[in-house]
Amino acid sequence: MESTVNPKAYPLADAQLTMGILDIIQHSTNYKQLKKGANEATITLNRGISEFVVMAADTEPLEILLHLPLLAEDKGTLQLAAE
Amino acid sequence: MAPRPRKRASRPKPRPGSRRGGGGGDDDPFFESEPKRRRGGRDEDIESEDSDDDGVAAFGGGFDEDGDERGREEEDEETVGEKKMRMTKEWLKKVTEVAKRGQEDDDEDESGGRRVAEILQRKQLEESGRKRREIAARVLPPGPQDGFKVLVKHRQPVTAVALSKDSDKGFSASKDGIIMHWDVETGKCEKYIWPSENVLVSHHAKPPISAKRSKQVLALAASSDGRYLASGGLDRHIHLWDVRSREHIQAFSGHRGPISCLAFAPDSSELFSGSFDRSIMQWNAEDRTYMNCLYGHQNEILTMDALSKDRILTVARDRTMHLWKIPEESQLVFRAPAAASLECCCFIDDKEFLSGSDDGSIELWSIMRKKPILIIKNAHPVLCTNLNSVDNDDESPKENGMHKPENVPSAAQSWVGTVAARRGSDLVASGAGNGLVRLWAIKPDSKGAEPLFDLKLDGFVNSLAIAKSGRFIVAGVGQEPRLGRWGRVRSAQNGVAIHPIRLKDVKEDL
Repeated sequence: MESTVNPKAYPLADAQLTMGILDIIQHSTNYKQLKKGANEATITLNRGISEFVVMAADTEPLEILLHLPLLAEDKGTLQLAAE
Repeated sequence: MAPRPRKRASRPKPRPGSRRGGGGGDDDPFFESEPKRRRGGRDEDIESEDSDDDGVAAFGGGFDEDGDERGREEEDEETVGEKKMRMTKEWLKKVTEVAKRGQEDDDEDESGGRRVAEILQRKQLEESGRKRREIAARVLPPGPQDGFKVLVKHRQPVTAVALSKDSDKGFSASKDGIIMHWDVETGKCEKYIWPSENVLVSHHAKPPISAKRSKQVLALAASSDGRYLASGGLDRHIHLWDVRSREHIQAFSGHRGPISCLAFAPDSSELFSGSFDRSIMQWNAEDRTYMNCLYGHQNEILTMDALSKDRILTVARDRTMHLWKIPEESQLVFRAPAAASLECCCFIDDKEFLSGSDDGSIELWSIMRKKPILIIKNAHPVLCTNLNSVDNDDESPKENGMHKPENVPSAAQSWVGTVAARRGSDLVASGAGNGLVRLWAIKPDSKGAEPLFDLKLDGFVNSLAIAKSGRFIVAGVGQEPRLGRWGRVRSAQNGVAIHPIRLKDVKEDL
């Protein structure tokens, strides 16, 4: 599993942080605050209403997500890559 | 962020016709005449209330209006007092005999009196929960004749078993909606008949979302006074049954997901229900009304337990266990220690409780600490011989960050599906799908637990109940787990199995 991760996905969250990320995703799902998918994430980032972006490291091809860190840096949003 | 507050009006009180628990034929004329003559209905209500009050007056309460009533009241009150005095004298005589048998050498009145006082004091402490009764030290190893015997057979996997307070009657429910009422001594069982859809609607049940109402029952609870049985399942309703007549009384609606667990508060008619919609609702079985809703869980609630001091314990799939204090309207949150998800929980006494996880571990918790006192890892390992009877695929996807599947038993058979405790004592049992029900002894003063014995029982143990006397344990067994179909043991018999627990004789045991 380690060897199959794209080296461009860096840094990766460890097991404990991944659990916290999953908890946040679950809470936001219950409160109807979660946007799923790269398109919706881009829209919320452009509008400035995004607070936290989670990207999957096993996306194939990973390049369809690589514009999100740049947008997040511009908007000052937290970004994190999860395995 | 708190969820948006939802307005939830209290449901109107049902009419006394439905309170009697009559059949459909009896209720229809009453409800038909209701819209025509509303005032007439109210008069009938008043008359029914008067008759109820007369019933209450027969037990010593009631009116002081006229002389005859007062005279009868005095006689009843005196009779009640005499009855209490007679029962107390019989009890003292019994305790004195036990004390004398315990102390055969010296029969001095002074030491006998002190011994009687000690027995009564210890009895009172144990009943109020301040002291833990030591049963585990007296458990004898199961003999070759002992073993689980099938008491009641079900066609589908049993999802819930419940015992009445004095442990002479039991109830079991299965996935096909069959609710059984059985006697512990004789094994004689009777079935609860589900009423038709019209009767259910007249008992305040909402129409089902799909075309047909699902009758799968996931939870059962028996009230302390032995009058009510509550069942909940996939149809999002809590059904209240009368134990004596085995008839449907009323349906409580309000949950937006399947009911996964039910619990009656001890010595009370308050009923708590947990659901897959992440909320816990509080109902009153006597008044047939909704009382409160508790929020806090972030995922489906799986199991629930209730104890005195108006506290309930719930576990959910968000890996947390919540201890709710109903009068203070507060809660304590306990998080699962590892990546495991908590599956079941039960109270041991007021300060300690137990939980089981889906990674096969059992955790002992105390109310004073946020981390478990003791974690028993791999409490129910899957034996090699059991793998032949397993049809499901044993390969499981590797969890993120845990690349050692050998150390984590991922088969569905090793999930701790249920834990049960004899309340106020140190005897605890746990069940899974690996063919064993394990007994554990809780050490005093929060020092952990140790295994006692393993009782062999094929199948998924979906529910456990230990008798109040500690002399037998009842298990609800199924070929499938309670909440899904991710495993199947074909050699298992769907039903309720009972196993005797032999205790050493103690002369002071009352």
